[in-house]
Amino acid sequence: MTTLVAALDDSAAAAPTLRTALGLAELFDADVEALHVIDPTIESTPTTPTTCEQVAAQLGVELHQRRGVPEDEIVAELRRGDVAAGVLGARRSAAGRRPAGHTALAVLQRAAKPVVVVPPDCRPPTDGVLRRVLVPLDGTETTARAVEHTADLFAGRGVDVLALHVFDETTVPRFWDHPEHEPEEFAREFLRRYCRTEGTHLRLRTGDPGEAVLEAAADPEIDLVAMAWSQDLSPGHARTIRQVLAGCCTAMLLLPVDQPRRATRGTHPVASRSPAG
Amino acid sequence: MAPPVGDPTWVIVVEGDGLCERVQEALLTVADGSFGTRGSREEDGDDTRPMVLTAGLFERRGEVEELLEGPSWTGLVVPRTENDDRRVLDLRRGLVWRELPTEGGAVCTVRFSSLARPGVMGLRATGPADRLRAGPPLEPPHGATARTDADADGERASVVVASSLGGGVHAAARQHESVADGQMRVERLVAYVADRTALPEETAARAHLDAASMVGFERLSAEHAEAWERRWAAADIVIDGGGDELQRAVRFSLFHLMASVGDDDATAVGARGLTGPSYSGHVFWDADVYVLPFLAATSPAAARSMLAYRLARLEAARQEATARGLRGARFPWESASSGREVTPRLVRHDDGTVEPIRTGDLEEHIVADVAWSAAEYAAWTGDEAFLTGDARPLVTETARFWASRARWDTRAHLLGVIGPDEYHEVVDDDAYTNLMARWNLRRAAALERQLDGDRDEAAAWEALADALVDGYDRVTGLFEQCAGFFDLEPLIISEIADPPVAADLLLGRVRVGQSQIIKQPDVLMAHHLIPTELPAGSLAPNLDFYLPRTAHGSSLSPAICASLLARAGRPDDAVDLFELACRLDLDDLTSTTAGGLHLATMGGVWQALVYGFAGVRPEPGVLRIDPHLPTRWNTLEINLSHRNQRLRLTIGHDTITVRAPAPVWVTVAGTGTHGLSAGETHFDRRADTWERRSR
Repeated sequence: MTTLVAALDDSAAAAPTLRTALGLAELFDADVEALHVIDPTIESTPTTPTTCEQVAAQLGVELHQRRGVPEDEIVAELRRGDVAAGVLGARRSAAGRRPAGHTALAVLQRAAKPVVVVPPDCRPPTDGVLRRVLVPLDGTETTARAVEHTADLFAGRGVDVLALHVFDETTVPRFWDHPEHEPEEFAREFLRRYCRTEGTHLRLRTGDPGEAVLEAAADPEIDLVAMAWSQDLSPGHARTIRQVLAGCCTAMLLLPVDQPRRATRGTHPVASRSPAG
Repeated sequence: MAPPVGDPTWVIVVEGDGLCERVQEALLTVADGSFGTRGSREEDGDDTRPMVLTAGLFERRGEVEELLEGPSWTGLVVPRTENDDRRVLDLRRGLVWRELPTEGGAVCTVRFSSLARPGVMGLRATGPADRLRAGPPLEPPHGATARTDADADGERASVVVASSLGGGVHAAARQHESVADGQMRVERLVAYVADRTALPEETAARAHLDAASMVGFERLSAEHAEAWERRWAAADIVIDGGGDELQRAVRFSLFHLMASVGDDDATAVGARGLTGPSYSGHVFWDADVYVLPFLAATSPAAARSMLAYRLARLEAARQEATARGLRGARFPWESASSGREVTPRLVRHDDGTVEPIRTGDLEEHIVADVAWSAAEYAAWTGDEAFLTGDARPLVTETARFWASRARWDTRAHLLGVIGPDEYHEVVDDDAYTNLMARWNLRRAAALERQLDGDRDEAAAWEALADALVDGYDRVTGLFEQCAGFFDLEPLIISEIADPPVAADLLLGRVRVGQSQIIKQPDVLMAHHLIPTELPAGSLAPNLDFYLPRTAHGSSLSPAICASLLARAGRPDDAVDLFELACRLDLDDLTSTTAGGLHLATMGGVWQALVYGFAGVRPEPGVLRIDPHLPTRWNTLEINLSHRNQRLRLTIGHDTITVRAPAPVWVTVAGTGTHGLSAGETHFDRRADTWERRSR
C-alpha cells in the first residue's frame, strides 16, 4: 500500500494539510500517516491535546509523534520505500513567513520525493475530491518529463489536467502570424511535446510566470498546482517557485527534477546541419 | 535508385527525434502540386501525424472549411522505431529515403509523389523478412466518411473519401511482396483522383493506377526524377560563398514552392500548401503576393493556375462587394472552396473572453494584391493576352471596388481598414492599402485605355488615384503608415525585445496598437511590390524609420525586409534577416511548423534573392538587373524565365553574365536598355556603373 506522510504542526495549516492528504489518498488509494515532530529545543511535551492532535482526531487519522529536528524527521520518513509523497503546511499562519516556513523550505530542498505544500488559508475541496490540477510548464523537456507521470496519474483518476504556459520576454514566440489560427496550432504541438496526458487543455498567458501561475491558481476550480522544480533556492534560482509558494492559496505539489532549464526563443534545429553521408 | 550521396546542399537529413516528429513530417513532405503526403514514418506511432492533402479539395467541419484528408498510402508493418532511424529528403529528385536499423538488419524505404504524373505515388521497402511486411496499402483517414475495398491477398485496395461539400478523393493501390535470401521487398504504387464537386468515378483512379503499373516502379521513379531535373533547371539558385547550410535552406524553400502548386488546374495554394493542415488550407495574400512571383518566373503554367483560382471565384467576389453596398469585386481575406469570406469572425480565448477578428472585414488590400499578382504574372511571362483577356476583370473589377470604397473630402480616403501591419486595426488611410489601391486604379485605367474600354471610367479611376491620400511628406521622404501613426508612442522594437518577436503577445494588443511598433512591413511592403510607383529615394528614409519599429512578428516579414535592405544598398545588413527566413521551418522558429511549412516565407526567400540581392525585376518588355551582393557571397546564379526565355544570370560583385537562348532585353542598374543576342553576355562594373563587355 502506498503511503502519504502528512506532517502536521500545531498551527492553522494542520487541518488543510491533513484534509489535502486525505483527498489525495482517496484519489490514489493510499494510506495517510499523520506525523507530528516535536522539536525538543523549542517545544516541551504538551500536557493538553494539541491542534494537530485535535485535527487528526477529527479526521480519524492516527497521529504519530516523534521528537527531533522536524525537517530531519520528515525527510527520513519520506525516504521509506512505501512513502510516495509528503504533505506539509507552507507556514504556521496566513501571515507567516514567505515564501514558506523554515521546515517547509528545508524539506522541499532535501526531499527526493514529491511534496505537497499546503497554505494555512487553503480551502481543500469540501467533499475532499480533487477535480482539477494546474500544471505550469515552461516549455522544456526537463520540466515536461518531471510532471508527465504525475499528470497521467491524476488524469487516470478522472482529474482534469490544465496545463499553463506563460510567455515572458525569454519564451514569447518569435512569430505569431494570426491570432485566429496560431494559438490552436501552437497549443496542439506544445501539448504533444510537453504534456501528452490525455485530455489536457493548455492555457496560454503572457507576463511574469509567477504572477500568471498565481492568477490561474486563484481560480476556485483549481484544487492543486503541480510544478517541477530544481530544489535550489539559492539566489537567482527558483524565482517562480518562490513567488508561487509565497502567494498561492492552493495546495502545491512540487516535483523535484535535476536541472530544469528555461525555454528560450533560440533555434531548435530540426534537420541535421551536418553534411549527408 | 540509389540514396543520395555527395553534395550536401541537395539533401535534408533528419535523424530520430520524437520531440520534433511532426515538424519533421512537414519538412519531409513530398508533393506533386496536386497531392501532398507528409513525411510520416511508415509505422504507426503516437508522435506521427500522417496526412495526404489534395490541393483545393475542401470539406466543411462545423463552421470551418478545411482541406479534406485523403487516404494514407505509406503504412508498412515494421518494428516501432526508438527514434534511431535516419531520413533524407532528396531535393534534387523529390524522394524521401529512410533507413531504420532493426535486429536483423536495416529496413530501407524510398517514396515519391510523381511530379511527372501528378496523383501517382510509389513506395519501395526492403528489409529482413521477419522485420518487414507490407500491411494494407491504403488506410482511410481517421474519422472520415470513407469506403474501402481490398482483395483477399492484400495486393489491391481502394479507398474513397467523400467531402461534405460534395467532392471527394479516390485512391487505388497495388502492391507486391517478394522474398529472396531472407530479404523482403515491398513495392507499392498508388493512384489518386480528386474531384472538388462530385465523388470521382472509381474507374478513374484504377485506370490511372493501371497506366502507372504498366510503366513500372523503376521507370516511374526515373521519369519523376527527370521532371524534377527540369524544374530545377528552370528555378535553381546557387549562392557561391554563402555556405552549404544557406544553399541547402534556399533549395529547401524552392523545392516546396515547386511541389505545392500544380499547373493544370485552378489551384488553391493555402498558407501551408500541401504540407499540413494549419490555417485549414485557406488561401491568403500569401499566395498572390509571396508565392506567385516565384512561379511566374519559373513555372508560368503553375502561376496561371493560381490566377485561375481567383478568376473562378470572381463572381463570388462581385457578390461580396454587392453585399457590402459596393461595386466591382471584393476578394476575401481568407478564401477556400467557394471564394466567399471564410475568415473566422471571432476567437474564443481559454479565459472565456471573445476577441473579434476583423481581418475578414477590413484587410481589404487583398483586393489590390490579387490585381497585382495578375500584372506580375504578365510582367514575368509577357502574357499580355491573358491580362487583356481572361484576367482583365482581376484588374478592372478590383479598381471598380476601390472607386466605390473611397470616401471624398478635398482628397480621397480609404477609411477603417487593416493594413499588413495587423498590430494597428481599423485605421484610416493605411499607406500600403492606399498605395496599392492607387496602383490598382492606374493599372486598370491604363488597361481600359489600351483596350478601348470605358474612358470616362478610366479617367475617374485616374482622378481617384491622384486624390488618394498616401501620407507622404516630401521634406522627410517618409510615408505616414496611417492617419495619426506619427502621434503614437514612438517605441522602437529594441526597447522591448530582440526581434523577431511577437510583440502583440508580449505587450498586449492594446498596448502595441498604441505604439509605433509594427508587425511587418506596411509602407515598406509598398516599396517592395510597387517600387516604381513610389518617389525615387524614398526607400532609404522609410527603411531607416520603419525597420527599427518592425517586430517581425509575422513570418512574412524577415525575407521582405532583407530584400529591401539589399535593394537599398545594405546587403550585408540584409543577410541575418535573409538567413532567418531561410531557417524559419528548418529550425521550427515559429513553433508551428508541425502544422505545415510557411510557403509565403519561402516565396519571400526567393524574392529576397531575386528582387533584393540580384535586383532583378520584370519591367515592360525588359528585365532590370541591379545587384547588391553581400560581401561574403561571391556570386549568385539565378535560373528563371522572362517572356518565355529561359535565362541564367550569374551575378558577381564586379561582373554579370546573362545566358539566354534567344535575344533578350535587359537594363543593368539604370545604364540603359541593352538588346542581348542569344548566348552569353557579360557586364563589368566600372566605378559606379556597369558596362557591357565588348565581344
